[in-house]
Amino acid sequence: MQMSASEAGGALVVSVAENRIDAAVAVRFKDMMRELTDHPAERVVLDLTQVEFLDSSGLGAVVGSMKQLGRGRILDLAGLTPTVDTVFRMTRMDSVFRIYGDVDHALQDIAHAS
Amino acid sequence: MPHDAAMNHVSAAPPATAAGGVLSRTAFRATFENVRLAIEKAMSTLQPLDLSVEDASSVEIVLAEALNNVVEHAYPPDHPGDVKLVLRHGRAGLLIEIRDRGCPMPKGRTPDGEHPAETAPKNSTPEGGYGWFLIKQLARDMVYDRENGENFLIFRMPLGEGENREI
Repeated sequence: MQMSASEAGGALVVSVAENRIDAAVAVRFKDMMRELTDHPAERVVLDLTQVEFLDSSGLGAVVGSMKQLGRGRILDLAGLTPTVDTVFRMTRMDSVFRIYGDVDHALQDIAHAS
Repeated sequence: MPHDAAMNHVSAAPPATAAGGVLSRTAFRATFENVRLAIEKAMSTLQPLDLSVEDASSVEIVLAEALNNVVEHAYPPDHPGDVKLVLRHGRAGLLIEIRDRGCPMPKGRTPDGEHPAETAPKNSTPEGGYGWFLIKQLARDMVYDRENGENFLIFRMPLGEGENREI
């Protein structure tokens, strides 16, 4: 599971360099998220630009990643490709997560920067 | 003995008929990794149909959820059995048939597919249970049967219904 984290605009940006977050990697994804977000930033932006497919296991792992951040921290999403976007909207996760077109737009949204 | 995602793979798209021309028949050991391979193979088999982005997304989502369900629920984790996938293309869309010899669906039928938040405590977002919700939202005319120890699931994916919305 190729993932990396970097600080930008007061947030921690986690990028997923994989084209699928599915049942085969969901547990590893959530573990990687736990490791990478062990960081003081309150806001985490998950960059899904490279992810072409996500199934319900991947969706559950993203929800689990939000929960394991703990109180007072938020997980925002950026760069959803068409299939990933379909899964998030059909399951009404767009009411749970703030979703941005890309990381730049997420970071420009200063109102939610901290 | 089938062991990977490639078996009797038919790549040329036959003419669309009501009964549905077979696009591919695949059998593989039910593991998450093999499901991934089978989906990749299925999506490339569907390339000649020139599906819209919307239809391709729907098919890929439903295939993943239905096949992962077999891996997760039909067979014990340490003894995965085989799963068979048949894709047919007909006038009514894409017909998908999935067979396995694992345990039957609970209560002998497919789950209702309600949104998991409907049965979850207030203000908590469930981490699971979205699979059947997605399948039931996207698939049509679903039939589940069990005969001679084999689960048989068949359903239709409508194609081209979203075309008018893009204009």
